[in-house]
Amino acid sequence: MKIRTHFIEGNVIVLDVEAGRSVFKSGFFGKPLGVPKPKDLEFDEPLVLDLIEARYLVEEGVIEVRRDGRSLSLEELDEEGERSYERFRDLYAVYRDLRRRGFVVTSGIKFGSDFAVYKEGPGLEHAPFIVQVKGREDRISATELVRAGRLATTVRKHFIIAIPDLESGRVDYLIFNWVRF
Amino acid sequence: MSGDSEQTAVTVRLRGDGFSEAQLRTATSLYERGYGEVESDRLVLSAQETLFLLEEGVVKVVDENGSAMSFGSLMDRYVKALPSFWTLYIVYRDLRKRGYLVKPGFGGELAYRVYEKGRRDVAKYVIHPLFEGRPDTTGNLLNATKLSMSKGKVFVLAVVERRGEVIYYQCTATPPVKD
Repeated sequence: MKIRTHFIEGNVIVLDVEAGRSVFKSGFFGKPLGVPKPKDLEFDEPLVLDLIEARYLVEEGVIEVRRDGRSLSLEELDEEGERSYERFRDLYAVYRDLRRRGFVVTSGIKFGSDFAVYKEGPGLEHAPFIVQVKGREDRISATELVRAGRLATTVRKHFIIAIPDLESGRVDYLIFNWVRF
Repeated sequence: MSGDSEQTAVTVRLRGDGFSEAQLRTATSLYERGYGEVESDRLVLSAQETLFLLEEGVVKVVDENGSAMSFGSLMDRYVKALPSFWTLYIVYRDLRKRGYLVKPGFGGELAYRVYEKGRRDVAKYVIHPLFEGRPDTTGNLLNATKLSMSKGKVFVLAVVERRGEVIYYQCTATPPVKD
């Protein structure tokens, strides 16, 4: 039985609190509305998923996303995603790859990057990986690398560039570590 | 520059191809310290090696006509031949000053091979420079990283800031692993 969620203006909401808790618990998906850092799993708010999370949970068969009395297809979710984020397909390809590798993947906006990636989950460990998604033709500058590297090393985070290939679904990774030479 | 080395400075002569050469019998100490390649009875030095050894006062450089060259005139000559030479030299110099043995790499993308301290049989690192103000593409960086990893080398990005400071990042092309 898939968990029913609602599509509202680019967000996907789990209104049923019990269902929301179970989705959150299954891998730190979403955020209880208005609770920036949920201390435990016993929140009483609706759960808000972003479109990347929602698409993944639909693809995995965990939820269905309803709008106007019917379920949205993966294609429709992609279209909505592209309306909301410029690089939705690239971001999604990386998100899915990291989730399938067993990581907890959350927004990296607080670190100025696309994703923050945890082995266990936020609050359970100190240092996530910081992941930036880029295409092969995208440029990487010295300034950008040093800025990211500085952030990553001050809080002991690795800085990673993820490079998805949408044709094959394959994602390449470049992991950077500052070294004392 | 020490007085000792100036007294015993080895004379190297520039060649038309950007390299320079010295008589091997006068330059064995250079070879022992990891500079140059031996070609019959001569030691052939790269542009970076030549300029660095001149800066260190270890060699005296003469042009094709036998006139001694200053650091500035030699640098000018190299930069004319290869506009990115200055920044490449900064990386070479930085590594040598840190005590590493540095050899030419595998072509443009992989500028230098660097040996672990105390070793000179197999290079451990490949150094790829990235200059402030001259961004690279992600694809290029990925290919260079994969190429050096396929050769069993540790890939190191040398980020050169505008005024010549070098910051090193090790870079691996592997997915993150959940252990």
